Amino acid sequence: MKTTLVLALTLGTLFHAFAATTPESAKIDTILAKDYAKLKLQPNPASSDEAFVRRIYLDVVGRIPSIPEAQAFLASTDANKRAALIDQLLASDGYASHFFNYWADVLRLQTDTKGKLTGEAYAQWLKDALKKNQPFDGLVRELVTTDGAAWDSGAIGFYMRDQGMPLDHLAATVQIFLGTQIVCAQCHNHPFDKWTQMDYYHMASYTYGVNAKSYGVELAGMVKKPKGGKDRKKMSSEEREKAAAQQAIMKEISEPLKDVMKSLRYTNIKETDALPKLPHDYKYPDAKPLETVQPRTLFGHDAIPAVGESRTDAFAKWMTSPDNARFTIVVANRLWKQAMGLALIEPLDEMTDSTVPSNPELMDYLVQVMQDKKYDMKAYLRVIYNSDTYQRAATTTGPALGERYAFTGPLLRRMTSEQVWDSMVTLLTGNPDDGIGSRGDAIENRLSTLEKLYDTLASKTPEDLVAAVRASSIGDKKGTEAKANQLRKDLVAAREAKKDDEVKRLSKELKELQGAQQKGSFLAILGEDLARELRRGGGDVPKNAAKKVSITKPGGKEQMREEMKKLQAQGLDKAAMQKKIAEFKAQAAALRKAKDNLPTLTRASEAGSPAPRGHLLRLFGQSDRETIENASSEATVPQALGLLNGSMADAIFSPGSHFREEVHNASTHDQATQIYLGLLSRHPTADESKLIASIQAERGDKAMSDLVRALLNTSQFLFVQ
Amino acid sequence: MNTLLKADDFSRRQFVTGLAKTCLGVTVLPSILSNTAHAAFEGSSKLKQVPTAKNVIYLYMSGGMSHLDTFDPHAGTDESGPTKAISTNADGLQISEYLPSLAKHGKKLAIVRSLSSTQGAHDQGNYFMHTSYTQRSTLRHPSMGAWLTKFQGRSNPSLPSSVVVSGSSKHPGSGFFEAAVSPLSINNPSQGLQNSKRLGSLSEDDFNYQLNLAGKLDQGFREHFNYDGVKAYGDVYKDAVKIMNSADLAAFDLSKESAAAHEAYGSESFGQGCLLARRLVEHGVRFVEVGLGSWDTHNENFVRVPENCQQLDQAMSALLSDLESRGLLEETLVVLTTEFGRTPKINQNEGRDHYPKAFSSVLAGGGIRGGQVYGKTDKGREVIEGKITPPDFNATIGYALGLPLDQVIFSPSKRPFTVCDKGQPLVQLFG
Repeated sequence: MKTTLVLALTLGTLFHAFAATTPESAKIDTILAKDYAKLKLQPNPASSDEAFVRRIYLDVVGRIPSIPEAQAFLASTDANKRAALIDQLLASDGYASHFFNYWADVLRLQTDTKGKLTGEAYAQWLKDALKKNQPFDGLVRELVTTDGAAWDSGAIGFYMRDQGMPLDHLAATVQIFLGTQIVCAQCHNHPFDKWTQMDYYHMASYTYGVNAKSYGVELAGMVKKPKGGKDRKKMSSEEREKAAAQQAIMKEISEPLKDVMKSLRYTNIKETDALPKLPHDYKYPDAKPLETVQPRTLFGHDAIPAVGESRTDAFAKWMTSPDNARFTIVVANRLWKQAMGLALIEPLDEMTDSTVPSNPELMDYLVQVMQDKKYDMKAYLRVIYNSDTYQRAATTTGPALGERYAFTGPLLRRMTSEQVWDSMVTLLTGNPDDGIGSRGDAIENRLSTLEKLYDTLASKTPEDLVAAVRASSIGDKKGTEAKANQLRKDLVAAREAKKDDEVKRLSKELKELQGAQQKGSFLAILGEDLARELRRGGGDVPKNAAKKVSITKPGGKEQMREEMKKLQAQGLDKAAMQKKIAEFKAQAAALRKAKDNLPTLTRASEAGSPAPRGHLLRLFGQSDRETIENASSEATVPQALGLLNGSMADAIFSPGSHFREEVHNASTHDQATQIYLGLLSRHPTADESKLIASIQAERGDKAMSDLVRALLNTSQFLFVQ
Repeated sequence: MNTLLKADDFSRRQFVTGLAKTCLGVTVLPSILSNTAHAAFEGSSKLKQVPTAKNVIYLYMSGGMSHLDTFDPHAGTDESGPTKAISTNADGLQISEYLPSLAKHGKKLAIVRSLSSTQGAHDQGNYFMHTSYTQRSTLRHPSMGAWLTKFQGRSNPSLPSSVVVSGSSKHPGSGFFEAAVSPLSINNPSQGLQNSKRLGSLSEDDFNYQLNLAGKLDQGFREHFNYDGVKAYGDVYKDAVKIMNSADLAAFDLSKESAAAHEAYGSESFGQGCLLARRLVEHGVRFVEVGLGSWDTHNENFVRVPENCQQLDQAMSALLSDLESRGLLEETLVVLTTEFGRTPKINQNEGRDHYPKAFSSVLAGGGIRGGQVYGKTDKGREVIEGKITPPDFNATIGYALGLPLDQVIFSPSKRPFTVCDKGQPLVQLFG
């Protein structure tokens, strides 16, 4: 009995090198093992702890581990340490940050766009949903059925993203969540799939009524302007008179009102009954051009709104229903691919009726796990991460085009742009998870100001507003106008006389006068407090709202003194010391300059979606968030230039960098080890140690910075094993 | 587009080629350049000529340049406001008084006054002008520079084929083409190519030592992992060092220009961008775009347009003179365009609003016959003669470059596209 147990344990360690695995994880391994046997393949050996710790940090929280984090894991003798780390990382904010980057790429989420605040609220909403681990089906239902203002739910960004393009929006929705491409059918029957243009319009009918255009506020007691003869006939004569009177006085306040309402643009969506019409050049016999199209689903059961349900309600229910196989297949594949580097169906968002997964049994099982876990994405990922399959060494040869991959282990991947950036931030600050989601408060504040503005306007009648404007300083419109006209005349004269300075001065004055006028409108209509609140930001979130994780103050005198003490202790002579001081100052100046050029050192998820062109993130292929999954991990020359000569790469081993301090705090003997741990999460091999010793002999005190700069420019740094 | 396909195992370009071959029975590049007959795209222009231009310098006025106050003046009308017209050195050709230096180059300019677009918002208008297609949220179309690279490759292998200076961050770039044909973006023309200079704190020896060390330290990894993506990094490092040591890097260095040249072009970003454009073209960059913003003159149009014109007038005149004196104007097409015009009606803020219905653009050099006007508006309101669309205008540029306007290229989603959609070139502007 005893022997059997020992034997079982030994076997256990052989096959499950990593103790705690979940039953579902084991099942994945079993399914794949059948395939290996059939194909006479050997699975990859188990990954080393060193490869594992780097991979799991990058895969779950999107960055390399810091030196203490790597050390703690490597030193632990806990048999359960891999499973424990997986749970710890899944529970951290880093998960939301990293997976935000992924989903923002999938959803084409943009923050720097028209309706910037709505974009920001959308990003915040997505981060919050990931943080609280909202089940994926519920998350999708919320996106599809969202309605109202940005201050009610950031999810309205889903529709605002494609404002004015409801047909494209539908195509994107179907591609993202159902893995089906119907976009060709927008203009004609699909040439390679079965979808007709009519199918497309039927589908589009579900979401077509969501109006992402509305941004006006209906004033209290406002009679709607009749939109034509029919409309007019419906109104009583009193209503007609009132409408006409209101239109007349509205003219008087239209300019100031326009200024005030500007910040409410693109902050509201509304689901209406509108249905799409076929295009004017519709050419198929089943209907006539410009005919209205009713909703009908593309496949599966139909989705008919129940009493009290809207069309989007019915659509969302249908889409996320367990009967709708493609919905689960796509998300199961997305997350599998995030962990393993390749999906079971490629491309995962271009399924047709004849699509067969590379391993149908595994695909079925993953779908079952996703459904058993009730679309809990963390629980699903936990199953994958705990499998032997995930925990094997990376496959050494990239699968050839068109070749079926048997998942003998994860594939080697280049870090995403966000992983590159976040890893650098980790090195520079040592504390990279600080500040995730810290924009939330600033966004909340701006949103609540807008809500106040909205409510204020909605509570006023046109008559109120006219009275307020007349009573205010901008009431003296004639005086202001006269002044402006005089300035314009002077300006023309100055230009003709070629008095450049005079032209500049006058045009500045004119602009100021206009600014004052705008300020006046705010004051008159909104009152002092709200006007001030609004003018402070105009509906934008301040750029520096993200908590700045700063690197140590560059070139502090104390720090320099410390350095010098160390050098003195090493017995440096005066001339050498002076040279060092000069070097230090130059470096500190360079760092200061670099810091000015550096964007805020926050995680990529906090830097705006996408980061501005020219940012290191974009250099490494961050998606422009224009099309679905548009990130690139292609090698480009500007990337190499950035790592060789860029300020961010330079800062990593310059004074002020946390990583540099950690290395310098170690004894000379251990410095190279710290560098390896920091950049590659591993110790140098024996061969590497030999090489390092020779560098030290050859280069003296330049050796460590040589080592750092060299390692930063290796593929080992950029790739995830 | 899934990331893996773009990433490790084969480039997107190979992917597209593969798809086209397997699914469509057609071939895309590079055999596209052979003389074999290809299926023409329905409605696209079949016109083709021997290229009259090798390069394009594309000046983009973002925000919507007022046509009435620049190249389509109607002095003395209500629509004109206070703007007056002046004569140029070309017979009968008048432009706005805010462009006095350009007036001296009238004999080089072909002014198109009959552009008409359907896109009245900035992003959409800008996109339409740059790609000839209206914006879709399911696909991104390539810009002209990317098409040019795709069709004709690079003329200087150590420099990118197209460059965008001070462009919008929403520039369509390479669109659905692979990243390799993407225009290089330069934010600040006076700073040149980002990260192309060795750090000041490193000597050349240090730099080379570190580079060599990186190679040694990475050797084991490179041998262990047989992935195209890993190999690609070896190549880009070689290219990066090549660029750093290349004589062509000087193309980006404006400090090599004389004080007189700086003065001629002007010290503002746009002038410096035009100067950089000339240097780049000299070094074999084929398509350079330079942006000038602030044309969105809803307020104080008659203050702000003259301000912008000052920069435009100086820089564009300097560019035309410079290209001419260097013998580059014949082979370089200079384009000036914008997303839309501005309302003939002057609003209550002395401004003009968006007006896609009628607007103007300019062409010069590169085989264009100067001193002419194409199209006519009724006081800036309606195009009453020679109405053309942005695709037609772009087809004219493509025609000058000798691009096959009817050549279909398939996007990764297998949809067919041509360089200027169905645009028809204005062949009468040439010769």
